[in-house]
Amino acid sequence: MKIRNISWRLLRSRNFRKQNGSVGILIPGTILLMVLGTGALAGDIAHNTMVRAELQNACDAGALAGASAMISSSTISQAANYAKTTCAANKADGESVSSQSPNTSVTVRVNTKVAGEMGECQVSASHQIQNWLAKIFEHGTDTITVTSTAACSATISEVAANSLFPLAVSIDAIPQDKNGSGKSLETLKLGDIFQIYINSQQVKNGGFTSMGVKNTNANWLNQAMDQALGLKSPEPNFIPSVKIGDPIYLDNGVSGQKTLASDPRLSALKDRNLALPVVEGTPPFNQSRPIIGWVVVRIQNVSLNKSGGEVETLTGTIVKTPIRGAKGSIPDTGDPNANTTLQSISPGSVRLIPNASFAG
Amino acid sequence: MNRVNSGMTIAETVAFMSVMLPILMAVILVLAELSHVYVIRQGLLHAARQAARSMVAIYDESPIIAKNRSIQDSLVYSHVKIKDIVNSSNQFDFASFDQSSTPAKVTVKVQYTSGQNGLAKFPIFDPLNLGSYQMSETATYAVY
Repeated sequence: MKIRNISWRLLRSRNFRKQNGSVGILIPGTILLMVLGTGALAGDIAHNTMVRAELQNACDAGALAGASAMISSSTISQAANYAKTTCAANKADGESVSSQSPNTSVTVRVNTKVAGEMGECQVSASHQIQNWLAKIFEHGTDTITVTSTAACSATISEVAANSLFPLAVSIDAIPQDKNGSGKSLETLKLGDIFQIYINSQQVKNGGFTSMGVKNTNANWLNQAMDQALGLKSPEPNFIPSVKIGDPIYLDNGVSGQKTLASDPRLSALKDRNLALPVVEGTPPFNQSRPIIGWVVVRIQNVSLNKSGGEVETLTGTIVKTPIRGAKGSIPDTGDPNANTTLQSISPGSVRLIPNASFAG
Repeated sequence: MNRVNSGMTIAETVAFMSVMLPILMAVILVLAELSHVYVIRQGLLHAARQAARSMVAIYDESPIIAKNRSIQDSLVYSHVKIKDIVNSSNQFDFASFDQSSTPAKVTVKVQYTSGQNGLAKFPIFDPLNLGSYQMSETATYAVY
C-alpha cells in the first residue's frame, strides 16, 4: 500500500510529466540511428566485397599470365614478371594492384618442378581498405587478402610416327595464283576454309615433305601418302615422329602433285582429315625448315591443272587436331620469329587451380 | 491529466516524425540505390572478366580478333549477357590489344549507361533530377 502511494505521487510529479514526450522521440530516434548504422555497415561490407572481387580478378589475371610464360622455355624465367605486370594492369579500390600502390602488396610464387605439369604460378594480393562506419567501433581498416593459382599443363611438343600427312603448310604465307590471293593460315579459325596452293607456278603455302628423313625419292613420298590416306597398312615408323623445332625437309613437289592427281589417291583425299606439319614462310624447294606446329584439315575439294595430271590446290575445313603430345616445354629454336610464332599458336594450356594444390 | 500527457506524447512524436520520417526515407532510398550500384558494378566486373578471358582464348585461334570489332561482337560480346546489367554488345568498348607490352595484354571495358540498351534508369528515384549515371569496369588479361 505504501509502495503504491509512492508510485502514484511519482507519476503525478511535475518532473516525470516533463519526460513523457521524450519516449516518442526516443523510439524513432533509435530506429533512425539503427537504420543509419546498419546501412553504413552494409556499405562497408559492400565496399569490402567489391574490392575483394576486383583483387580476385587481378590475381586470376596475374596467375594465368605467369603460368602462360611457362609454355615456352624462352619465357619461363619471366613468369613472375608476367604475373606482376598483368596483375598491375588491373585495378582494385581505384588503385593498380601492385606493390607500388599505397596499402597494397603483391607477392608471386612460381614453381617449375611440378609432377605432371609444366609449372604453377601463385599470386597473392593484400589491400588495406578504409571503413566508413566501422571506424566508430574502432575498426577503421580492413585488410583483404586474395590468392589465385594457375597451372601450365603439359605442352604438346611431339607428334607420333605415322600421324602426319607428308605435306607441310605455312602459318603466314599468303598464297596467290592468277585468280587472286588466298588467306594465310594464321588468319583462320576452326571451321574456316583453308586453301593449300602447292603448284610451283603459284605463290605457294604448301609443299611436300619427307619430315626428318633426308634424301628420299618419289617412291618414299608415294608410300607415305598411301599410308597416310589409308590405302596401305602402316609400316612402323615409316613417317617418323617429329618434335617442335625439328627441321623437316621440303621436296621438289612435282612428283607429289602427280601422284595425288590420280585415283585411288584422289578419291581417298576427299572428306579425309589430314594432319599437316606447319612451318613459317613460303615452303622452299629442297631445303629444310623448323616445324612449329600442326593443323588438321578436312579436305573437301582438289583442283587439278588443265591437263588434269597435277594437283594445284587443296581446299578443306580446319578441324580439331587429334595429335598426341608429350610433356616438356617448347624448345627455344634460336630464332626469335619462330619462338614468337610458337607462342602465338600456344600448344600448351593454362588453367586456374585450387590454391591448396600449389606445391611451391 | 493522463489525457494531457498522452496528447503531448502524440504531438511530440508527430513533430519528430514529420522531420525525421523524410530523412529516414531518404536514408533508406540512398541505401537501396547504393546496393543497386554494388550489384551493377559486380555484374560489370564479371562481364568484363568473362569477355577478356574469352578474348584471350579466341585470339589463340584467330588473332584477327584484335583488329576486327565485328568478330569481337559475334564471338565474344554477344555471348556475355547479364540480365538488366549487360544487355547489349554495344556496352563493350573495342577490346584493346597491347602487343608492345610484355606479355601482350587485352583490356576489355564494359559500361552501364542509365536508360540505354534496354537498361533500367539509374538512379531509379531521382526527385532532384540529378541526371543519369554511367558506371564502367575493366579487366586486363595476358594474351598467350
